[in-house]
Amino acid sequence: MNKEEYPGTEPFDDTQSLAEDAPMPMGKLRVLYLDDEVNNLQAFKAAFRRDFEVFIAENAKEASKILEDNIETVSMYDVEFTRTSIHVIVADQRMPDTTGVEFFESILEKYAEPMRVLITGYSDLEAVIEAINRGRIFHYIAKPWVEKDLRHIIESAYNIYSLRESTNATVRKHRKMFKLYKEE
Amino acid sequence: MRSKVIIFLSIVFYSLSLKASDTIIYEGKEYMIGTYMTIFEDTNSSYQPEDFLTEKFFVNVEGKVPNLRVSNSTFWLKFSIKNLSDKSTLLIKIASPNIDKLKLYEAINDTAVNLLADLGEYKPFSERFYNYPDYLIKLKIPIEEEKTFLLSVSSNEEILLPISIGDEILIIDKENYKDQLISFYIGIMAALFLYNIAIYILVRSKVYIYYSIYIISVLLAQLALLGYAFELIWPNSMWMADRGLLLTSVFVGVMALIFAKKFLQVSNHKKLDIGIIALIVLYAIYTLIILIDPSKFNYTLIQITALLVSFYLLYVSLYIYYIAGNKEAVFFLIAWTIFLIGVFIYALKDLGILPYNNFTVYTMPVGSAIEGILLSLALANRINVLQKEKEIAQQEQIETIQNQADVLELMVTERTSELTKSNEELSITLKNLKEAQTQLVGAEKMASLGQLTAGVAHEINNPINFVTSNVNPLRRDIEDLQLVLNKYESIQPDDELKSKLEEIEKIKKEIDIDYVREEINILLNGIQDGADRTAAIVKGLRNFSRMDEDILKKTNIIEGIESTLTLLNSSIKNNIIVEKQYDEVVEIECYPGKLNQLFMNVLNNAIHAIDDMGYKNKEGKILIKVSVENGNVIISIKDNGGGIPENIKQKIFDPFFTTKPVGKGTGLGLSIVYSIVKEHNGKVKIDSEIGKGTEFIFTFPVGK
Repeated sequence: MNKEEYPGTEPFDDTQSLAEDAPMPMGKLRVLYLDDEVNNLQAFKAAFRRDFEVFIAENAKEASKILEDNIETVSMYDVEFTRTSIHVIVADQRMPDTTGVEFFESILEKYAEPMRVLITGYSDLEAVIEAINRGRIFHYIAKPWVEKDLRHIIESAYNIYSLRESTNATVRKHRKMFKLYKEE
Repeated sequence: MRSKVIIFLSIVFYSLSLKASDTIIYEGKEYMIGTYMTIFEDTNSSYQPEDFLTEKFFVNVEGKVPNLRVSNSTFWLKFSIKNLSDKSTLLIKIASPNIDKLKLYEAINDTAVNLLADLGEYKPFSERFYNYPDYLIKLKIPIEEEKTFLLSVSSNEEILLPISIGDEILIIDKENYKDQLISFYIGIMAALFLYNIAIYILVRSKVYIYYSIYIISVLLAQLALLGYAFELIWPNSMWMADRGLLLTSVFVGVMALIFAKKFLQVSNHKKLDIGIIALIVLYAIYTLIILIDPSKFNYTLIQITALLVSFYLLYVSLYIYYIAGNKEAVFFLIAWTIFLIGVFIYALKDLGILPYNNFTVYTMPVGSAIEGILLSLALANRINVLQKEKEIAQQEQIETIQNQADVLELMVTERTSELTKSNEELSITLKNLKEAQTQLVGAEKMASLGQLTAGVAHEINNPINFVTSNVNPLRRDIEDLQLVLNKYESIQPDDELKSKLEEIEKIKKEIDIDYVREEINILLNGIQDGADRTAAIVKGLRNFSRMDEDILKKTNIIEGIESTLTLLNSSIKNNIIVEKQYDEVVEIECYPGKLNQLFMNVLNNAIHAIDDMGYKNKEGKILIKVSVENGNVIISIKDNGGGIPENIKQKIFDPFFTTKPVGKGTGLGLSIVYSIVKEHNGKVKIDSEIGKGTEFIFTFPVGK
């Protein structure tokens, strides 16, 4: 069914204006890894740097700084907002100052967008089950990790992120279209 | 009519009695002249012998031996003797030694008398003609002639007059014989006395003394009665002469009472005892009177009292024998009865019922001697009885002791079996406790082992993680290098170098070769690090697991401390800085596994104490010092945790004592530490200050 057949509608050309406001396509996967063990950070970076943009932080303070330093402005049709450009945050649970879950809880308000993955030893499981709900953690993985599995999880997280992104974009676009339509 | 008959008869009797005395025909034989004498009682002692030359006042004597009883009167006796023997001298014997006053006159003519003898106890003995208790007076009567004599006697005691005449030599012989008999009697009594004194010295029983004194009193009484006391003991004492018979009678009465009282144990029978004491008191009163003025004392009183005493003692002994059942009293009974029989016979003789002869005269001494011997026998028997009683008592004692010993043995056996039983129970309990202890210690070990493995698992987790995760990236980096290498290898000799090199440069840039080189280094370092750490943990575990090595070994304790620290690394590294001051490498003889456990427990506690303080930024500090001093190793583990309060310090080594919440910690950690310290002959000291921290100081001898 083409547009002409639709009663009460006129052909609408939004491509130009909409196109301007279309969001930037999601770039390469950006993942932040938080762990107090430096060797782990090195291992993570070495494993994923070819595929993703890897950020590493030794403690919660550093991690927050990285999230802060990578703020991007996003315009999406009818809205414009800032957010951190990090897509996935992977954090170790067993850390001296703040646990992984505590960290995730702390950034929930400010940086709600990144997907959250927790690395935890089995013995922590009990303590963490409740926390998983609180911290809205997407997945957990046990240490020592299997690289393939971790990669898979990170990619899945990114997929969900982009899916969400495109859904949002679509909603915004239609909104914008509606607005434009209303303005006409 | 009747009264006339009486008057007539009495006149007849009176006139019959009023006859002249017969003349005694002396032909040389001795005989009693009592019946030939006539007697007159001079109640006021006022007559003179001349008054009696005519016969009107005299009555006939009844019986051969005149018994004048006790009287204050003077008695006059008159008799005549015709001497038809062949000697002109003869002796008259008045066998009454106790006569106080005795005077013998011979009639010269109808109006005059001649005093032949003035004797009596009121004169000293030496004035007697002959040294015999009986009065012997020589009479001089020419042959074929007749003389009349007057005898006056008075005494405050009983007067018995056995008078006889006879040949001097014959009479003196008789007197000597009598002396011998009396000596014999004295001998017996003296022997009894000495014998009982001897027994007293041996046995120390007072009854023997009383008996000895009683014997003496009996002896004295008899001697006094027979006149020997006057002759032998107080010949010159008029004072005693007056009182002698009385005092000895009183003495023997008192002693009889005292001895009977002791022998029969009358004090057990209050009523009888009172009687005896009353009699003794009576005698005491008599004594007083006698001592003061014997003439006032009536001899009859003595006789009556003596009778009373005799029968009372008889009654007492009967009572005690039959009613109280004291078998020993039979001796006294028999002896006393014999004595009383003697007395009885003597009394009958005095009364004239029994004739005056040797038998009746000597029944008293004989009776008293027999009595003395019997009582001695009784006393001697008493020793036997006492011996028997002692034996019985001993036997009973032995039996009692035997019984007690049996009972004791029984009790001892009981107690021993009880003790053995409780001993066994205690042994079992001890064994159980030891088992429980082992189990608990084992459980604690398991608990700490559990803690350990959890810690170890965690510790190993990380190194394993980055060792494994480094491998793939490393492989990729090497593959990148390989690309470059391949490119270099693919260079043919005739290839254009420049373009090839450019190609290689391109690849190098593509892979970011500098970065790759760097990354390879990093990853290899990481692997190295991870491997090292794993090895350290394994070593630490191996070290630590020497827990079950119960062998004394020279061990480097610093190694032990280090391996323990390794195992605790995960708990430590976050907040705590561990400072080590090891003076020197120290090897001590110890059970290495146990010492490691000691370090583990103490360090664990330190870590927990610091954690509880909530330090951030590595403010927690543990200082470990090892030094050697005087053959001892001193290990100090000091933390800056919360400290231990003073009142808890005493208890922290107690088993199951913990300040941790339920579920955290067994409470056995430090008690195990303490037992390990003891096992190594070491000492532990705690310095602690609230808010500042705690220091554990261990001292171990280098050589055990």
